Amino acid sequence: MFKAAKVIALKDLRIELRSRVVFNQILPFVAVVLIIFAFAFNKYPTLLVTVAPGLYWVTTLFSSLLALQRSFALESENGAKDALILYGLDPAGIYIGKVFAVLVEMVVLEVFLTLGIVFLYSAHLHELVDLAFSGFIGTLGILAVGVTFSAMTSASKAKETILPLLLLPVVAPVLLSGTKAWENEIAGKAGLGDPWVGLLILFAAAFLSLGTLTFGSVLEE
Amino acid sequence: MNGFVEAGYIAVAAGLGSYSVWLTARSKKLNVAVVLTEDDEGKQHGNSNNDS
Amino acid sequence: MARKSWVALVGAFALVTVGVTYVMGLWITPPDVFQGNLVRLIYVHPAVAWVAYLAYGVTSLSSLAYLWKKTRNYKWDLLAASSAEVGVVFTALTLITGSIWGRPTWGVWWTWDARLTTTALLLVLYLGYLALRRVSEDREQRAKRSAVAALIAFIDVPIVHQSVVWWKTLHQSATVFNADLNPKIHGEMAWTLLLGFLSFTVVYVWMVIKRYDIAKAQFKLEDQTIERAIKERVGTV
Repeated sequence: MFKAAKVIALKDLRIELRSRVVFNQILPFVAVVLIIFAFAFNKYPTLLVTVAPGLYWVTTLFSSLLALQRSFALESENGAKDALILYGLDPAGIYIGKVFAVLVEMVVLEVFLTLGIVFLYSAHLHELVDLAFSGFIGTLGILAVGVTFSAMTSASKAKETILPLLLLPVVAPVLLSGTKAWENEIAGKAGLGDPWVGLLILFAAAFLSLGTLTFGSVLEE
Repeated sequence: MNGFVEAGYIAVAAGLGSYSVWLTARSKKLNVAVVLTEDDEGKQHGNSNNDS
Repeated sequence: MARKSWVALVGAFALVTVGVTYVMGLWITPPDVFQGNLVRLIYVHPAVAWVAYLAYGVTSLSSLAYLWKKTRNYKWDLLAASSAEVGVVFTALTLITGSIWGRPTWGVWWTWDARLTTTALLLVLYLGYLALRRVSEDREQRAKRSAVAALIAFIDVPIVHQSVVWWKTLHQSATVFNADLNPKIHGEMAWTLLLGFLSFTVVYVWMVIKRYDIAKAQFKLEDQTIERAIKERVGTV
């Protein structure tokens, strides 16, 4: 299982290093979103600092939609997904590999996003370790469901529109818990014992196990 | 009463009612279609039997 | 034929019980001391909400039955789909009646209460499920994928609910719903309440049977069309 995961993750990350789609397209997208939020709240610049946790999670969610779609566009070209199954790779391994590859890309994007929030919105962030941990675990939760849904929809004609419809309601708790965890951490109120962080961990654990168990059924034709 | 109560009761009746009407109409239409194709098949079988 | 008249009987029973619930709820039962006539919505709204939850429960169970190899049968998939669609209708009605009740009670059409928010998310969650069913073409693939999606929704609902409850209770002291529960319920009122739950559940049963039959007839029609197309091209098999 982990061998297959390694193969898939390395393959995807290598393709990314060569094609730089995430770097050249999704990273600028994050930058644009940061600027657009500044326009939306132009009347109250201090509000940007207050709502920064929410903005962080909304941007993370939208850019993970793009990264997921990119990740599975790789597979639906030339029927590469069928080839993966034909090679006899373990579906659970494919799943974990996919989650890991997109997670690496998202971590890069989120570091950039956090820098943007600090420099463009002049937000003062401390408790950086706590923030990073909840950011990481929340993203893992989003991707755990996201990879399953993307695999289901990537071959369909309506893939661009159906993925957000499926994913956004399901990951609503991540958005809520992530925002709350960030608010508390920025206020210095709670560390890792925060129940919101607990909920993020629960979410990621539940959907990682479900994804690992059911990815075979999702891939099978 | 006060308008709100009536509105609530009407909303439920209208919602469930229109969905039931849709269900009934759709199942009637489908049943007719299924029976029609079945008849077609029966005819074809009959013809081929006669031919042979 | 026997099945058809049996289904019609269920339908007639549903119609009569809902009719009786309406008459009892609107005219026979007395108005409440605190809420006045507004209390009459209690015979409809909670029952409709209960059916919505019941419908999603059935969807989850039959999806599980489909995914489990020992009980795998396309009928489970069709049942899951039928129940989800009926569930969406009832969820929408729950939101509408809740909103109508909320306006005179709280003064607003919508409030970010834990239950309301969960119900609203439930509606979009299963609208997504139904949309997913519409984009898949291959039957077996659709059945497997939508069963997994239904399981995701099933696991998600308690997490959604928990997060929303925390979200609200960290802000407000109590939920708005507490005021609605009257400690003293009249005998007639209790019976009507019970009848409401029963009648809407029967409506649900009838609707699911109907929807299931439609799905099955569609399958049959598709098969027949394919068979005919093959026959026309290849000749009789």
